[in-house]
Amino acid sequence: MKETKAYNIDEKTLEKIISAAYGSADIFEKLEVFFLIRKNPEAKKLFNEYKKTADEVHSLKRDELPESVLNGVKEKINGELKIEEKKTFLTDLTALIFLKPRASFAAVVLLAIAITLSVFVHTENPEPHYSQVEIEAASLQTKQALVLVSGILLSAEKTLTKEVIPNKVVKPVNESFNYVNNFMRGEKNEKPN
Amino acid sequence: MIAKNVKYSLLVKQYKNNIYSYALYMLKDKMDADDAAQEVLIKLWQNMGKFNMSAAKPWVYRTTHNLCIDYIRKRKPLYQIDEEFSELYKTEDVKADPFLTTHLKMMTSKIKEAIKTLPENLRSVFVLYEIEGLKYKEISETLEVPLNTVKVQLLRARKKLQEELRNYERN
Repeated sequence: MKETKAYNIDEKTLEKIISAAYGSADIFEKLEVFFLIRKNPEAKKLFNEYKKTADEVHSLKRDELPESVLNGVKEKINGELKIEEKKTFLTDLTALIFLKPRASFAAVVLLAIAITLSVFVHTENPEPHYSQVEIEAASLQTKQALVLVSGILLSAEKTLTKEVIPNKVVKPVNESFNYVNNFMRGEKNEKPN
Repeated sequence: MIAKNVKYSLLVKQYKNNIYSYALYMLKDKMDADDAAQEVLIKLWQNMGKFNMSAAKPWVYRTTHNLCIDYIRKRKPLYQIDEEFSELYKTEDVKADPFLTTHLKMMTSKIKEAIKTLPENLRSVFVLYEIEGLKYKEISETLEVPLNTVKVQLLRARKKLQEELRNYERN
């Protein structure tokens, strides 16, 4: 005869299994149940049964209040009431502020802290202060740099006007004109260099 | 007056289905749930300004619960028509898969019916915690029972519901 191992589940363990199945157990209880159901098939069966029910219960949707009931309420309070059914961001925000004032207040405080901190972070960088000697040294270095740049520009201008333009531009242009003129006169052209 | 109107509208929008749904579970009758929900909403209007907006949630649930208990006590033991079961066939969408729709509705109906078979004290705790999503402390305040009683009743309700469903499947 095949021997079957008996698994006893006490009341306390059953409570933990049920809580874990319904998702209301704390993390330690959940872990305890997790390891228990791995080695105990009876516990696993119970857990699965309760979990199935819990899932079905949690998936139940609320029944919607019939429009006729709401109309009855409106009539009974003499039409003083105007209930807008259309949900907008503004109505949601207003509802949040009215119904969760503490949460809204906390959000406003956090926002104010964030703004204040950002302002402080910006003002924490004061303008740097330089001594007169440093300013004079910087001015001198700037002048020297400008002299260097000026020298380079003058040298470049000199090279352009005295070497590049006469030899590389004007001379070939003149030679080209001469060549064309000679050709028009019917004279024999010498081969350009 | 404008502020009262705005606040009331917000509360109605926020809680109207919660009130109705809870009343339906507690009273197990659509007509009674309609009346109870209407009465709660009128009481809410009359009591606007008497409580803080942040305290509206426990006020709404406490008022609904107390009213439901009054209805149950006043109720004559007459044969009650299961409104929900009759609606199952009345509202069925012919375009959808009729077998699937019926099966899903039967499943939901089965769970709802099983919840409705729970004793009144267990049912209120179970519905408030599992369906309405209230915390232990809020339920304790709403039903005016100790916190530990809420926890014990919730556990009993879960066990009893499971038993009911087992019986349901056996039959």
